[in-house]
Amino acid sequence: MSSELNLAELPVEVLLDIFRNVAREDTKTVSLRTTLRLVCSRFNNIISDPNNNRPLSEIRMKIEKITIAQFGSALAIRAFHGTSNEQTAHMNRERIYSYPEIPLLKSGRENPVPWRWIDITRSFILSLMECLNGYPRIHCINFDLYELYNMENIKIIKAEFGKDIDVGIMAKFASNFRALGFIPKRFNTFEFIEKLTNGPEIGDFGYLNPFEDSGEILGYLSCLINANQLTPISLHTFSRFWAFQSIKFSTTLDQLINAIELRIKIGKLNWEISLSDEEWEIRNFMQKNNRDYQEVEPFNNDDALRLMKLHQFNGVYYSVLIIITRRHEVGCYHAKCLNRIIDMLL
Amino acid sequence: MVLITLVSSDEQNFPVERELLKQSGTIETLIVNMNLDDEDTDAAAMPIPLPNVKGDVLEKVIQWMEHHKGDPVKEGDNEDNNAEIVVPQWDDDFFKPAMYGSKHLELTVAASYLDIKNLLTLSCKAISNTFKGKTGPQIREEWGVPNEFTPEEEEAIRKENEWSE
Repeated sequence: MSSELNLAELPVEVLLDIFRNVAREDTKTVSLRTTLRLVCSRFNNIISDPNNNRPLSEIRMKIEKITIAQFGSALAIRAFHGTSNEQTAHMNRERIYSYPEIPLLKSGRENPVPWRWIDITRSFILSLMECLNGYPRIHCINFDLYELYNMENIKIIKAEFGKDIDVGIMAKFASNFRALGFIPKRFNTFEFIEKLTNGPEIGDFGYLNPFEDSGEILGYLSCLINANQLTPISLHTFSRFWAFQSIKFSTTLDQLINAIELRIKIGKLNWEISLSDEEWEIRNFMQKNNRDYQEVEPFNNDDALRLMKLHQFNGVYYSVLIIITRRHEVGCYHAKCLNRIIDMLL
Repeated sequence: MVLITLVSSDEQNFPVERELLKQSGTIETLIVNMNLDDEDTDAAAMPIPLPNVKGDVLEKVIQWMEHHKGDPVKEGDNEDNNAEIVVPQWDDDFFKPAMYGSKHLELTVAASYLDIKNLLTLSCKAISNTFKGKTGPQIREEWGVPNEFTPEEEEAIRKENEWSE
């Protein structure tokens, strides 16, 4: 040990301990990160090292959402701090100087309705992950994109996911966010959910809205219709083949319920899927596999089937509620599963 | 009272009460591995070498352990504990004379090497307290850290986290 040990020469684990202690008291977490990085290049390297993200989570910036915009040939990426309110967010945003490789927009000239699409490639996902290094879970990523020519003329850009993006890379990317919107149904698997909700920022996950990726773009009207179609899971995969005992099939209603029950203490978890088969099959499945779910009396004069189960952990009651409704406009059944803390005094 | 001898890197011997050494995870492991707790073993005849700790630093460590004798020993990684740590007055007075100097840093490194979690936590907290309300260059100056950044590099770091107008 040198007789003149310098602060910058302390072992990494000791410096990480010191940084964490500063964060516990400093409310200005945004400037704290910069302050420490400016002390010396060793501090800068340690704080910038993605491997230290977890121990340094307390000095990372709290980001609600990001936006990527293209102005002519220039790009702008913004991170918004601590709010999803647009007006407040405007005053509360931060530039990120590391740009992802944004794929080029493609146009469909033959279509009467103006639309464009963007290829979400593996390279884009990896590049975006690079840019998000050092940020905690962002509130939401929504792949239902909008192109803003001006405030009166909003055009939709449809995201197309490349075949080279597998469940593993998508789940890793998705772990940067607390909520997901409009991701293809092929990522709607138990493996994906497991990786997503078991990340280092566990406790923040809130909402998953898987979306049927049609594989082709049919224009603006079709986009709107698609927006109402959540990921369909055929009843054949679970009522006829007993898929809940098999890992071969994609996520089933039973696996969905399982995933929610296993993560009941994490926080609010909503998961929506559509069921595209006959009502009697759904009821039959529920009767055979309801695992102590009790039917809840209908209210609001709707025809929804509501099934609820109570769980208790350390004196706290949680409910898992499954609401199955028929969506007349698209002719299919829709299941919504959610968990909530129950106040038993009510 | 069983005494165990610790030997510093500069060959100084420190006979220490066995009970005190329970605060150090590293020494505790060595005691078990060397069977020093066995009745048949002559612990006094088997000194424990600590090649990474100098005599003057080890002396301070022992002084700290003596004051904290009987305190509950922290176990496991405390990474997820967000509770604010308060440095007690005695410890503050203990650290203060060497603060901003290499002796305090060496004591901190020794606490890490010897796996004395309570000492490490308090020592790190005492260091982090000196950062409060300071800018990066002020921390650098107070702790005598050489400035390795060019003005351009400093500006680039500032820009990375700059708030938009």
